Amino acid sequence: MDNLNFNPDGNVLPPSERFAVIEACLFAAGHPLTYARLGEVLGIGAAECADTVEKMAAMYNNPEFPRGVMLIRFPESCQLCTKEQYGEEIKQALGIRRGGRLSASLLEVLAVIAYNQPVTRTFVDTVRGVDSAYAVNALIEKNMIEPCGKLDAPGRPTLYKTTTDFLRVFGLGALEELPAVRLKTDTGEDIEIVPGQSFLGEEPESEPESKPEGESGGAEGKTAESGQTAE
Amino acid sequence: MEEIRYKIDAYEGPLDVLLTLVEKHKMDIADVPIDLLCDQYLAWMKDAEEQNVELACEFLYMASELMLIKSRMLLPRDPSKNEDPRQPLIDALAEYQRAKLAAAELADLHSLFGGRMAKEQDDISPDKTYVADHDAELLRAALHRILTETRMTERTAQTAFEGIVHAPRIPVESIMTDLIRTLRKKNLYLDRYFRTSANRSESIAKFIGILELLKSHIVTLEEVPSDEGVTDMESHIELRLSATDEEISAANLESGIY
Repeated sequence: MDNLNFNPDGNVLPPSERFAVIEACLFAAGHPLTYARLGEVLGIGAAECADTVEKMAAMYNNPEFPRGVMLIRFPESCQLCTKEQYGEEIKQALGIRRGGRLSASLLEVLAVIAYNQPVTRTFVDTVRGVDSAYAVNALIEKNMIEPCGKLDAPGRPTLYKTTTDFLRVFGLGALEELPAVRLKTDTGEDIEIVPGQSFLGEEPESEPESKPEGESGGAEGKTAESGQTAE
Repeated sequence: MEEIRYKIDAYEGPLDVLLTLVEKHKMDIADVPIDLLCDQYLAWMKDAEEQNVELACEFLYMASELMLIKSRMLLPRDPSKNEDPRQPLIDALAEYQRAKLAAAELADLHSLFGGRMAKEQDDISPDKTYVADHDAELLRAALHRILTETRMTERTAQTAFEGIVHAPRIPVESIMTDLIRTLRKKNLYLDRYFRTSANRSESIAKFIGILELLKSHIVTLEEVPSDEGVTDMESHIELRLSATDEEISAANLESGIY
């Protein structure tokens, strides 16, 4: 597949042409393209491409010339998409009725996966106390989550993580931008819950975030984060 | 009790019910009063059943779990094991609460940014034309093989009139029509197809017909293992129909095949 090299001499395109090439490719693709691949076409490295794209993104946010399309940037890739404020007009133009709402149970499942990824379906079941198979499949169909390997445990269950489409429709540039959740306890203290910290601490798979005060298999009540003496 | 939702669909599961009760009675999850919680949960279940709501088994299971924990709390605890019988429940409630809060955050984000749409990829179909640098010699050699290997039974009638009547011209189109009709019923082995030729002209017409149909993607050739009863060869090449009736008429073969 990589024999199609339109830039065999590695000629570097001038910046003005770069923007045009990137825009054309992103439009034709629809889905995100990696900086690496775009860089190949332009004859530059991925990092330099990412810089170029960063500068390009500003072009779509010029207040004097409002654009309906924007360039969103992810850690490894970028994508063209419509701006959310024109959603109604687009739906009218295309004759789509209101749709795309995520139900409460889908959001719950998605939250469990997003904040703890990668996780198995059983993990989601355990947290919610109900069978989540239907929701997991629905989220896969909406391309909010995708399989990403298997857990080294009996049955080799599938692990799931969120997709770039998830990032797009939640307005996130990266998983690190997931909002920290604030929880007010009865004593009035503020407890912050951030992605990656699980009370149950069960998933043996790699956890991106570091744990505050050590994990144990579940018997440790981390109901209250720092500052509250529980049990 | 007004705030308690009786519509069972409004709850995601028993943990959802428990969390609602915890919040309603301002219980501290970390030190949850199991007596109160258990009683409240059972009361909720009773109300739901009075409303003729069928509770899924998870709700019943939770009831038994709560009663089990409650009874364990009544027993003297073993001082050597520093276990709180409520701990698994506390952990589960806390984890679920966290998930619900996170879901609420995500819901806010989705309502803001959910309108961002991206395009499907353009269908730039790859050129599937079969480009091969085959020597025309290969075709000639294949034809030669067919003509020599095919055991042809010349019909007497034709040889008798050979001097008088021209060798019959076999139109390729009618060969193709017949072949398609036959393939509609069942697949054909390639070698058998040629063996049934009356004469050389027919074989040639069949050969050309097959090439034509292959080009239009109306038939395919597949290698299949030999079936029962056939012991002469290991495997056969089989002719199969690979297009629908609409595709066939759309292919615009001259004789108007239906």
